[in-house]
Amino acid sequence: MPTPEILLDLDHVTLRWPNGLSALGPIDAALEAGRLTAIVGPSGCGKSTLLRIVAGLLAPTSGRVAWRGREPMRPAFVFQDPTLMPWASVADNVALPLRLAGRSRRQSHAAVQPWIERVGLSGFERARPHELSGGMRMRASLARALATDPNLLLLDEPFAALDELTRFRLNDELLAWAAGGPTILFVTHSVFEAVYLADRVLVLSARPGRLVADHAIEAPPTRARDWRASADYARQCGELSRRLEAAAEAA
Amino acid sequence: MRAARDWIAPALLVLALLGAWEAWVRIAEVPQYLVPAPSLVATTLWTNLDSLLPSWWFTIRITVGALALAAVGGALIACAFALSRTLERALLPVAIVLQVTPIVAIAPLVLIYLDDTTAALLLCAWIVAFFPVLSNTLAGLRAVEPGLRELFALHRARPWQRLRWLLLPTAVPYFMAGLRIAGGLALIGAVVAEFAAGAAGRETGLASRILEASFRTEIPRMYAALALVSLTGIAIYGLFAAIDRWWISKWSGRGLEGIATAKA
Repeated sequence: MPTPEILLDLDHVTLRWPNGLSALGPIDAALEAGRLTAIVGPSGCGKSTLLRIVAGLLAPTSGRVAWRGREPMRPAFVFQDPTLMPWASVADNVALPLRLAGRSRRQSHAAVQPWIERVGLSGFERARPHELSGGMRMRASLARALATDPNLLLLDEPFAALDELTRFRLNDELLAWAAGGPTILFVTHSVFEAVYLADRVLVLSARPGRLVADHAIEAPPTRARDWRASADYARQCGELSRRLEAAAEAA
Repeated sequence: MRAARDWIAPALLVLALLGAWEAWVRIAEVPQYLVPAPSLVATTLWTNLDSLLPSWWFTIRITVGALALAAVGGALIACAFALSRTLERALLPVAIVLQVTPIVAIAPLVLIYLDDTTAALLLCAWIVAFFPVLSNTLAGLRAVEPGLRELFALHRARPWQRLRWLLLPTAVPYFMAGLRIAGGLALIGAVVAEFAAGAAGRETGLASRILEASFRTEIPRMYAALALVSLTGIAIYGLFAAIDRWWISKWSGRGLEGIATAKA
């Protein structure tokens, strides 16, 4: 079996807030190209902070994030809230990153249209976010991230606020949309979601979050809904839950 | 239908108050040089339209001019403050001093320094009106959702892109709320400054008519001019509240209730 290509190295990454409070780390980990890595951990352990450090939105106090990809890093970020501009249409929201990159309105709208269709928002291009349901808003947010053709997709509990049915549907759709695409780092507080989506789960301890387990998921080649009802899925969820409980106690 | 319901209650209350006032004046036989009946105020307003209308138009011009300058000046200064903390630290105390010093204390000085009375009145009304626009717009520029701020940072937005596509649209509802407050204040500034100027003649506003009527103890005429000032204030507030509601519902589906005002 070939050794997977390392795309990103977290090298002794730590973060201390200006008030002296230790928020995270030190964390050492390597992200493999093309795989979906989930991060789980107790509330406040620094999962979202780690994601922001990887995205370059926060600078670590010490340590470094080393990009090892052949192409320059093209990150996209999906936040817990859809973070859409309330005054702009769906098309303008999805096209925002392309507009910021200097493309004209016409060009960027044409470029994002396939993604708007793919996430099931055809016909809602001119709608404002307040006219959409929570799930549709999150689809727009995902389309905005995927339309930039990222090679690193960072997701910060994107489905946490959605109902279970919408969440399951978006889990499946995310796997389909991202298949063969970007490397994904996915923060979630749901063990079930982590097992269903990820190839690998990094378990962080309570604050300051440290890597306490690197857990591989053994999933069928194609994950389908019936896998959620299988004994194998339940066993792996149970195993990860125990690791998470141990992490919470390891503060 | 809902709009009609919104109007019926206050309209009935005003009519009831006017009716009670009319009845009290007639039954208690209150002399008209003390408190004129509403019917007399209305008659006086009608018979004095020739002198009151040009004055009303003059006050409106000063108010609208000051408000336009406050909108442009307040918004531009707020943008400058949002882009430069140093500039804000340097200039904000001056803006606050202008805001907290009573306009009746500043107006005589302005009238001494400026030869043109109209320009002086405009400046006084502007001083009163610009601060709510400045403070509200600045609050709006700083009220950007953290997620959107991070999104713009992630995609390396340039300062002008951030200003055009994020800061200004976020600030619009706050700016509109500031304008609603500034509308009333511009009218107050225009009237108070004219009181301080004590101007007389043709090119003067409602404050001069009130002063004239006061010197001649024409109390019904005073009330008539005062009624015009009040009606103008209500109209300005209503106009901006309507624009505000329309704009905000068009943009974001939010009601006015969701918009905090930095200065109320």
